[in-house]
Amino acid sequence: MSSSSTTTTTTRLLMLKASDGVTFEVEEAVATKLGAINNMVEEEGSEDLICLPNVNGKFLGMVLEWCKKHANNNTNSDKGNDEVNKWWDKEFVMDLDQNTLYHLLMAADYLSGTELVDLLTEKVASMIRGKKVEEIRETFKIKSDFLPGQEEEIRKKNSWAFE
Amino acid sequence: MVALRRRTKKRRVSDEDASAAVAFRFMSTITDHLLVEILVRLPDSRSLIQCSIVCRRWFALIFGASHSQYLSRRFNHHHLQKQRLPYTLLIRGGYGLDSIRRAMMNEPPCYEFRTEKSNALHGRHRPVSPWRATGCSDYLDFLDSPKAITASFDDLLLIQRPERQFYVCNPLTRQSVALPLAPVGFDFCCSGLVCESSNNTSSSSSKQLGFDVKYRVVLLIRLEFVYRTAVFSSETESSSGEWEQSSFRFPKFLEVALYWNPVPFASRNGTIYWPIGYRFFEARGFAAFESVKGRWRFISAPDKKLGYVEEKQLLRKATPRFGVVRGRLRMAQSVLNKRLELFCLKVWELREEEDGGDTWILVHDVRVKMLDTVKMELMALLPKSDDDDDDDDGGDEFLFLRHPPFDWNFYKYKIGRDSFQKVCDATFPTRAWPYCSTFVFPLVHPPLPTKIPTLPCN
Repeated sequence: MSSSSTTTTTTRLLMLKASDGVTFEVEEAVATKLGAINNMVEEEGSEDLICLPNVNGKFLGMVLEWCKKHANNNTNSDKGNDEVNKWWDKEFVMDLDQNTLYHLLMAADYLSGTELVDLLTEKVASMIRGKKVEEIRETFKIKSDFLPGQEEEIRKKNSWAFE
Repeated sequence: MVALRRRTKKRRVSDEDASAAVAFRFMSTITDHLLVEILVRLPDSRSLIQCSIVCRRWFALIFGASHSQYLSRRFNHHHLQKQRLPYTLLIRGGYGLDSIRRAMMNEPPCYEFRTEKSNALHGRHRPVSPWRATGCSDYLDFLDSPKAITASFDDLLLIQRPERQFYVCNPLTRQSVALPLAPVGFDFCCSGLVCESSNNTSSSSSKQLGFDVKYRVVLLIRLEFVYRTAVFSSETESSSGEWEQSSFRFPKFLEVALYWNPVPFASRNGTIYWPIGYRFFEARGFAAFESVKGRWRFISAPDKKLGYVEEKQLLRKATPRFGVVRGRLRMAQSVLNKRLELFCLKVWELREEEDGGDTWILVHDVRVKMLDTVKMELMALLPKSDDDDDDDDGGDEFLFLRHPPFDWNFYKYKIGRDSFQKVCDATFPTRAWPYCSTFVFPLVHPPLPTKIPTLPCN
C-alpha cells in the first residue's frame, strides 16, 4: 500500500491494452481512478502492461479521458475546481448517444470506476425522468411484455402513483 | 456553430435505424445491478412506481420478491444521502382538547402546505412555486367524515373518528388501518403516535417496495388525580390486538387543572411529548411517554431565564411552538422588541441523558429585523431530514404567519439570514383564524412511503 503511493510521486506509467489491440500509456495516478486497475496494480506490483479484453479502445480512451480530468483536478481540491469538474462532467455526458453511453457504462462498470458509473447512471436516469411510460418504452425501444390486464392491475394496486 | 449543429442532426436522422437497434440492446443487455442503479436515481417513489409498468423486467426489479428489498434499500440510501426530504404541513385551527370534540361534529378547516418536491410526489395537484396552500379536505377524503387529525409521525397520521375509532393512515398512498375500538372512557383524550422500523421481514407484506414499520398509539385521559392510559401496539406478542390499559400519577403540582395541548410530538427515540401548561399557549413542561419502556415521566420546560432580560415579560405571553428537528424535541418562542424593531427568536433543544436527567440547550438566539408589521406569529419549526446528525446549527427554518390588518401571508425564516422570506399567501376564510391555537402537523415523506402493517385481527 505505502510503496505504491511513493511510486506515484515519480509518475509511473502504465500500458493499458484494449480488446482491439489499441494501447494507452497513462500515469498510474490516472489509471488507479479505476478500482479494477487499482486492485491489479496493488496485487501484481511490477506488471506495467495491463490487458483489458472486455473494453474496446474507443471507449477505454473516453474512460481514461474522464479519469485524467478527475485525477488532475483532485490534486488541488479547492471549491472553484469542483465547479469546473461538474461543468466538465456535464459536457462529457451531454451529447452521448445511446450506443456510446451503453458501452461507456459497461466499461466503467467493468473497470469499477464508481464515480463514472454514478455520472453515467445519472445520465440514463435523466433520460427516464419526467417521461410517460410510453415515452420511456419509445426511448429505449422496450416492448411491453405484460399479459393482458396485468398492467391495469399494477396501476390499480398503486393508484396513488398514477394519478 | 450553426453548421456544426445541423450536421450532427442530419447524421442522427440517417443513423436512426442503427441507434434504434443499439437502444434495444441497451436495455436488454444491461445488467440488473446497473439497471437498479439507474432506477434508484429517479427523483421520487412516484416516478419509480410509474416505471414498474414499462415491462415485466422492470416490474420484477421494483416489486418482485427477490429484488425489491435490495432496490428499496438502495433507493433509500441514495435519497437520504443526497437531499433533504420533502414535507407537507397540515395546519388546522383548534381550541385545545375541545377541538377534537368540535372536529367530530363539524370538521374545522384544514390547510395544506407542500414543498416543491412534496408537490411533485403528490402529483395530483399542479405545483405552485414555491409553496402551495390549499384547503386539505380532499387530501383526507379517503376517510369518512367527520374526523380529526390528532398526531403525525414521519409520513403517517393518526386520525380519530367518533365513537373511539382510531386510524393510522398514510395520506400519500391512502392506506389506512383501523385500530380496534378504544376502551370506554377514551372518547376525548390526548393521543399520540410513534413508529420504529420493523426488523420483522417475514411479515406477509414485506415482499413489496418499501419497509414495514411497527407503531404504537397512546391514549391519555385524566380522571380526578389519576391519569389513565391505553396503549395499542402493532406488534403484540403478549396480548393480541388489544389496548393495554394502565394508570399513573404525575407530580403533585400537575394534579391541579392544567391545560393539555392535545397535539403531541414524537421523537426518533420513541418518546412522545405532550406540552402542558396553565393556559394552552404556555408550556409548563411536557408529559413524556417512553414507548419502548412503557414509562411516563414529566419534563420541565426550559428555564426562561436562560439569556433573557428585556423580553422577560413578553416571553410569558408568546406562544411557544414545538417540533422535532433531527429527531430531538425543540421548543421555540419569538418575541417582538418594538423599541429595537426586532424579532427575537429563541430555540431550545432537549437532551435526554441515559440516567434520566434532562437538559435544555439554547440552540438559537437570533434577532431578525422587523417587517412592516408587528402582526407576525411563529407558527412552526419546519422539519428537516434527520439523516445528518452533525451538530451544525445553521440552516434551521421557521414558519411565520403575518395576519390582519394586513393580508394573511406565510413567511419563512432561515437561521443565518437577516430577514424573513415570503413563501405564499394564505387564503383563510375569516379574519378570526385562531392562529395562536393553531396546530401544525408535519408530514415528512421518506424516500419510499411507509407501509402500515395490517393487523392480524383484520
